[in-house]
Amino acid sequence: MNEPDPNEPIFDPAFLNRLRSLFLQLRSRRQLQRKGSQQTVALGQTRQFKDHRQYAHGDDYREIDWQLYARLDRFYIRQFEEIQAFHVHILLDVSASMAQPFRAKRVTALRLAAAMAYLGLIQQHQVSLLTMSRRVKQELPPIKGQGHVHHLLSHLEQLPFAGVTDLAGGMRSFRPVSNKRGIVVVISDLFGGRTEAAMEAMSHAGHWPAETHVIQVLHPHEIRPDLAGELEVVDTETQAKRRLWLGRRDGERYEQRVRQFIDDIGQSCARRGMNHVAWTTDEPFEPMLLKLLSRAGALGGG
Amino acid sequence: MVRFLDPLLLSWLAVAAVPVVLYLFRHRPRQVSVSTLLFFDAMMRHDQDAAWLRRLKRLLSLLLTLLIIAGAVTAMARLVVAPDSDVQSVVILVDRSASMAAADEAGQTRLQAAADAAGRRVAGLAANVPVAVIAYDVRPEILLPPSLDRRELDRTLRALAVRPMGADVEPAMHLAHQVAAIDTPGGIWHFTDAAPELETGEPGEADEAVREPVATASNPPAEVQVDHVRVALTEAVNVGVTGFALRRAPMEVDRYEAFVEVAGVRADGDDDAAAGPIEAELRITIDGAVAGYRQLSVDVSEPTRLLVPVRAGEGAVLELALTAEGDVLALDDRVVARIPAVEPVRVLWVSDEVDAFMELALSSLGEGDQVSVFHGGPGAWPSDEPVDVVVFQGWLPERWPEDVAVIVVDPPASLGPVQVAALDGSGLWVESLRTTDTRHPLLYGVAGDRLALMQNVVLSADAAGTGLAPLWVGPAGPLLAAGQVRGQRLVVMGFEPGRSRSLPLTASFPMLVGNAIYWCSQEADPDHVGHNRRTGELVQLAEQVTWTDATGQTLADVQPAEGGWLELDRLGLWRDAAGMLGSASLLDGRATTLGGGDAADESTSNAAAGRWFSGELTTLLLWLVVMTLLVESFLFHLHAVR
Repeated sequence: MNEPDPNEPIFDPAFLNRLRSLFLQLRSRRQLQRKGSQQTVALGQTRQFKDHRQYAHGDDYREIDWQLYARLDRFYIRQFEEIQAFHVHILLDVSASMAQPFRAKRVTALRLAAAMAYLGLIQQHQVSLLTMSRRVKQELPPIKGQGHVHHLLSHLEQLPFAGVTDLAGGMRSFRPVSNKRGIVVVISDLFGGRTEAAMEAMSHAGHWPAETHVIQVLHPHEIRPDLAGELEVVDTETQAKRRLWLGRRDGERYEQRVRQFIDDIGQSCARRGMNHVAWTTDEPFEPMLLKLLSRAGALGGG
Repeated sequence: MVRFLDPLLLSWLAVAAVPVVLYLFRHRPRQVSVSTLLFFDAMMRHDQDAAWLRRLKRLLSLLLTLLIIAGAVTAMARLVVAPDSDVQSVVILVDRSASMAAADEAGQTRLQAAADAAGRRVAGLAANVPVAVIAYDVRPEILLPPSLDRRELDRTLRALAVRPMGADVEPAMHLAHQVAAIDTPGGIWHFTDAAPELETGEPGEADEAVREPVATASNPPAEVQVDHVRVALTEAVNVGVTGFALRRAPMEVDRYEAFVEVAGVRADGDDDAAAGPIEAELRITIDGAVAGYRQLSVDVSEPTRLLVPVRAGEGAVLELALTAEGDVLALDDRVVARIPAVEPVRVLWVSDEVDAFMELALSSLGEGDQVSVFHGGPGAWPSDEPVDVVVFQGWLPERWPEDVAVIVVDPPASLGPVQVAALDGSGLWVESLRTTDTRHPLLYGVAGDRLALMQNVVLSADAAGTGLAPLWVGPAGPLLAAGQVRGQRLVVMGFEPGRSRSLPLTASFPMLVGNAIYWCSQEADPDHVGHNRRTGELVQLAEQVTWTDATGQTLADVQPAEGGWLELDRLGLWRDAAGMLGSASLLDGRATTLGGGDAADESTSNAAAGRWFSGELTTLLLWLVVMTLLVESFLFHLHAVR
């Protein structure tokens, strides 16, 4: 199992090196697929000339290239390529269940958030870091450029993980900026007070005007608990207790229910055009991230 | 009364403290933090018990564990339950008559059930209480005098066997009282299938028994108390032959008539609606050859009576075998009898004049050497030769003969039991008769409604007073009577045959005379004709007696007791050294009705239920422990091991 060691530093230099290497891999892969893409340094929408096209009835006459008309005595209109900078929203679940009882979830979630933010910053996107427990909170003002990476990482490391998750409420209250195209990356275990809350949350997320990626971070023992006998289980968020007797078959039944829950989330996301990834902490980080980015069109450089 | 035979072992009950302590101070379950309870809650809704149910199960588990420990310890301490009693001695009075051979579906006879019940009761007695055993059928027998030896008592109870005869409880109870009174206060445990006749109080008051305080002349009241323990079958069907008599058919050669009475009983617990006739088949066999079958529908409320014609010679063996579905008692299903030897009846006819019609009637009886008739005038009486029947016609001696059967025809005056009143004139024509008892043997084959008679005297016939029962009654009074007076059979005809118009010339008159002669010549007890007797009777026989069955196979050779008296204690045919032949059959209505009374009454049910909870309960408790273990395993381990 490649589960991250909860005691090792979350963002050590090796991790940052791996991220850079990962970005280089991504960029070379994209450059092979597409050449000539350009970016502006300006914020917002810009106009970059691309080609001429013969005027046709109905075209905006303001787009006619009068200089070319002077030379050729024909109407041509100029075509421009629109280059857009994205706004990457990283929505990180910082409820208690993301850190307890499995600290590996916290490490994985923070590294995921860091990787996504790094990718956004390095591609000159605007990046916002938001946390979600009882409510959604903007942790950092929108940042842009690689210079903010260390500030971002140090902030991430200081984030407290506590409280209960209000998935549906958080998703409902959160609105990515609507006048720009955005990318929303939700990093959560999606454990709310009830199973229906996750579905409601996905329903709200489906209405966001953004490319949405839902990364469900789970510990393997959350999928199949390593428990047996008479137990008193305590919810780390609510401190609610249940006394029960678990046998071998109960473990199988529990796993069936969790997998059904994950499948339902996945189907709900697929119906709404969202990308869903169930990420267990024992999986190797880089291959999983590459796999995720290959499906994340804009953030993956596509 | 509840006692323990090994009370010291009750100290093992302290073991029960272990599960109690474990229950009270059980370890708390391991506490585990989890990210969410979402899926545990969903699983608990479907697969896990609610908290209250888990608490109830834990409590139930504790109770079952305590029950197992309590059952095992009380079984080890040998719990016994016995009726409340402070008796100093006990007499076990056991009915061993034929009805106690009735077997239930498991094949257990009532006698075995009685022995088992007695054994259980004895187990609850203190060791210093002497116990005696008396068994009875028609007479009681002390099988074990008061004894403290329980093994001997057990052997005695196990050795009890049914004797195929009726039961007489009174002398047995009397004997039991005498034995119980030796060491008072005493108790009598009466085990029988018969309904208690002297019960007091409600059934089931005392354990499984009906308790009867008894006061006898020799004992003060309450010194001896009787517990009637009924062991009757709650569900049973039985039919049996309860009456049998054999007689020669009048004016016939080698023809007999067997009178057979068949009774039945059906006990269906509480299901009274199931009561109804019992279908049975009677097979008649003569010397091993089947002579006929009769299909019978035996009413349980009234015995069925029938006449079976038998054509057989002297010494032939007649066997009647009764079969019915579900019959629980075989001893009463079979009757064997020997056809008796034909001895001619010697008749002395004494009259002033020879009546031609009487002479004709008597001469017609002489065929086949069945009747020998001697005639004489008044001087011929008293006779020098022994006679069986004397016929006085129109004449009576000065002194009434008391040692011979008498037929008086047209008595001139009253004498002895014959009391008459003369009619005025020359008699009274009687053309209309009233027959009081058409089934009387005297009137067999006689058409009384087509006769015209000249009645000379009116008979004084009153069965309760004179012992004579009127059979024909005319306008003036009785003119034909018959009866048994002090063991002497007597027939009186108050009419004159010669002056009667239609009677002498019809076949009815010889039939009437013949019937009268045969009836008078029979012994007072018709069952004894040909020594076909009931079991349990005593007969005086010579030397060795051989018992055989109906096929002639020897069953046993026995010696009569001193004085030659032999108790007929088995079913079959017997022959003594002097050639005397006879048979013995059960013929007991009480046995056929399985003790009589309603076999499914409440006291019986109590006895059936109570027998599980009396005596030493070790076996029952061990079964309880095993069953509790099984229940606990099913409830708590079947689903836990997975």
